[in-house]
Amino acid sequence: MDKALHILLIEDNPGDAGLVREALREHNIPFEMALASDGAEAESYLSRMGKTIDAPCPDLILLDLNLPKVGGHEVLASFRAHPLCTLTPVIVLTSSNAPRDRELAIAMGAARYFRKPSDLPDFLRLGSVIREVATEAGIAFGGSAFERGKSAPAFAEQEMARGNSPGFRTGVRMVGPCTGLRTSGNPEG
Amino acid sequence: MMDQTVSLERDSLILIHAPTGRDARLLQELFQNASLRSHVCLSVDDLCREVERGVGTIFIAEEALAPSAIESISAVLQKQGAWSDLPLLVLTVGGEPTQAIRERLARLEPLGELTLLERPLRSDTLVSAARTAIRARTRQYEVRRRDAELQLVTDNVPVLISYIDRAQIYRRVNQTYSEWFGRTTEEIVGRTIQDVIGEPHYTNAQAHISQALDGERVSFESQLWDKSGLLRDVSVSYAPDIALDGTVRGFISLVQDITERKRAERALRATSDRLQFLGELGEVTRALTAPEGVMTIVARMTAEHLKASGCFYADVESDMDTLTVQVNYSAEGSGGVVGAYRLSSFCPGFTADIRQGETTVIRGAGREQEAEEGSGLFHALGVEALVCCPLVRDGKLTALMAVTQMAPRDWTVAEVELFETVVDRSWAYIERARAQSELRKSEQQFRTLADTIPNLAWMAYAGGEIFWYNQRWYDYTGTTPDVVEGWGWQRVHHPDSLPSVLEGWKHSISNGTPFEMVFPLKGSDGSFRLFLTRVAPVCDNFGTVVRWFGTNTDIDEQKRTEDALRRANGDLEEFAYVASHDLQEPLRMVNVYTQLLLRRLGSEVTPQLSEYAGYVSTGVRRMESLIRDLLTYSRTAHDDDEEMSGSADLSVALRHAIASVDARVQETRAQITFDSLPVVSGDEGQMSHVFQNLLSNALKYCKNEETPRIHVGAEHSNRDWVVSIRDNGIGFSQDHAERIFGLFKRLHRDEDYPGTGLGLAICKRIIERYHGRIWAESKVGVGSTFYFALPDGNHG
Repeated sequence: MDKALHILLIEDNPGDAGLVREALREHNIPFEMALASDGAEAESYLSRMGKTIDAPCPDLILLDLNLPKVGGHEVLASFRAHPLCTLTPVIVLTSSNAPRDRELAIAMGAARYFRKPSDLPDFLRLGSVIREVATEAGIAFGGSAFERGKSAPAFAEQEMARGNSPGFRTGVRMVGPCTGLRTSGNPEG
Repeated sequence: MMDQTVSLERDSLILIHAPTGRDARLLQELFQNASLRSHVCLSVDDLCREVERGVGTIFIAEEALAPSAIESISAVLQKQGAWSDLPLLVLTVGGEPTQAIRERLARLEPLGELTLLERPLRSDTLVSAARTAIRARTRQYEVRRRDAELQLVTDNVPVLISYIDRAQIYRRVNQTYSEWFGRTTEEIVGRTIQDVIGEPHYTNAQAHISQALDGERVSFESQLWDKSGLLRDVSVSYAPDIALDGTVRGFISLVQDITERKRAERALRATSDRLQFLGELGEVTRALTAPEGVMTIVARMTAEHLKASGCFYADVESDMDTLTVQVNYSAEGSGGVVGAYRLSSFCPGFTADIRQGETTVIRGAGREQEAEEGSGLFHALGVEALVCCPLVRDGKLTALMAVTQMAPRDWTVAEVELFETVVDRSWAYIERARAQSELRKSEQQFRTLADTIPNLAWMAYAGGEIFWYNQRWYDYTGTTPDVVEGWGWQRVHHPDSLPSVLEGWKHSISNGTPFEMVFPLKGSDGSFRLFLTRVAPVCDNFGTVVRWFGTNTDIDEQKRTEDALRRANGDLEEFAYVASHDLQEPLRMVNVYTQLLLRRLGSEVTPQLSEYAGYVSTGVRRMESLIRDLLTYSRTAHDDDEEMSGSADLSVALRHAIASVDARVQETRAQITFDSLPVVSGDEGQMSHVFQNLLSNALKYCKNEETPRIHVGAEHSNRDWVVSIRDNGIGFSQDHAERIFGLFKRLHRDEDYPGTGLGLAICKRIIERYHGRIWAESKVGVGSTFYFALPDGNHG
């Protein structure tokens, strides 16, 4: 069986959650998804993460910025502060096209900024964006180039053992829009 | 008078006259041995000549004193001055002199100091006698030299110096003295004062002379005729000559010519009198506001100052002939000339000068104007002499002023000039008085007006002291005039704003510039309200600030409303923004899931189902554009300083707009042409938005059968740039030209021409934001032209 991609989706709109699943299926990405439907649930997930069976450490986080209770930016900051999630790639999902939101997300190390499109085919492209990000981050999952059975954190540990500091990898990801930070989603933007 | 200078050698020269025997030679030898210079005179004539040239002493043998010799010697000695007492040493034969000799010697006695030396003579006696004699003589010469020096000095002093004795007879005068009277010293010395200075002056001086002879020093000023008969001012000093026993022997008189000094003093006094008079005139008239009042004062003061019989002021009518005497001052109080006259009834010469604006001086109407017609009028008016100054303004004689005399009068140049000055100033005083009276009148009107307006109002002097407030001020502040007049208004100011108010107000006062500021003022209830204060300077004709008019307008309510409105607008825009945003979310769901449903159904989708799904997606699209436009519309209301201050190149904005509608241009094969467009102040992005909307409309409402042609033009018109977008589309009725700029206003069904009805509203909002106007002209079936005008930015 293919290794599933562990995804944490933080999204308050069940419709959008459904669409994310559709997009993953559309692109044949095996996944296991945990859903936090608001900021508070996300914070709660974070507190349990790695300790309980229902809160595994995710390979990838999909984060809606417009969240009730605790805002998306705040949630992102909390995850970044967690030792197990400093490097976990984050794709920001949003209906906002405000430059302010986009800049903030990039500054906080989001791998992609995906504006939710109102056209189905456009939305389904999210699947390829997820695949791209996971591949860039060297996360092994079904159908990927990496060795099966190796989780992303384990891979990171191996990298560190080889002398590549995780800071180096973070640096590559965080340099700025020209080094791979692209906004995916509705091209009308 | 002065003897020729005697050399020092001759002071000590011994003359020897002993014509018989060896005496002369022996004496000469003896004196030579004693280093005394001597000269032997062989004859009496020789002796007399030598004496005149200068001599120390004379040794003369008794036997040489023949009567004729005595005669000659006496004569020469008499010519010596009073200073001389020539030592004469007579060598006698021995024994008692004979009677004859005695008698002869007695004749010489008063003329010299006679010493008899008896022969045989001892040599040392002779030398000693000679030395004694020479010493005495040297002293006499010294006295004479000093006397000569003194004379030289006194002669050259520009002061009349004389010595007058008790009998009031001149004993001595200097050259200046004799020259004054044009006489020689000899003609004066020996004569009495009375004789020399003449009876009238002597009478004046007599008392002073007596005082001097009583031993007092006297100084006085008097007048004295000089040799050419001119009476000159002199200062006289008498210094008594008092002998040791206290008796007054006479006095020294010093007389100095002070005519020039007196003249300068008189000129100075005249000038200062004149200045004082003009100063008083200015001072007295300053407070007056009625021109008649000014002229009454001027006429009286001028007549009094010039000691004239009268002074009048007359207005000249526009016919330049009729003159109305408005003010007449008469020293006698007759005041006869008030009334109307015709200038032409006076002498032609006089009227011609007056009409040309020239000062006319008549010294005696009877004498000068006798031959002229009209001189009788002067007589009738009792005017014999006058100085008349006309006022000519803009080439027209408008007034005249004259100072008159009932008797002939020889007006001096200074008097005429003074009168001209007075008249010149009077015109200025009248102007000033008129201006002040006008000002007072307008102030009165202003006060009346100011009490009816709802603003607080006040007036201040040029220096900033407030002297009047309207009733509204007192009603609002609850103050009283005595506490707020001047600078007391500060008490109703807030301590935080007062310093900047004072600074601004003082700046305005010193520069004469208007003042405008918003600050709070305390009301009678102790609470502050915000006022807009405007103060404007009021200037006279010369541009000098004479008053300040200020108003305080209560803008508290206005300010509050504005703030509330701004807040409300902000809230509304924020609401519109968020609402538009949140409205888009459910729409997205509707759209995406409709598509998903169709996908899932796959082959089960019927054509009807496809049609329905089409309606869903059209509805969603339309709703989306509505929301997007609403978002744009709400965004344009934000006052962004950065956008407001920028400049927009309309050519660039148009290029962007054309690019954005390119697909539609291709589709319709439209032709777009444009002129070169100006740069205006505004935001380029927003201007591009306007073009985009207007171009979209032109491309949308085009005729199917015709190639759309769109032209964008620009014209400069009266400080504005007017941009036009002309099309050849379907057009619309001009009746709708205004309605189409309203929110959600549409002329067509969405099925025919889709649209949100917000495009033009957005354009209007953008253009108005930059202080422009937008309008349209159209004709159904012909086409539409949309215009917008924006300020060219060159006028602030």
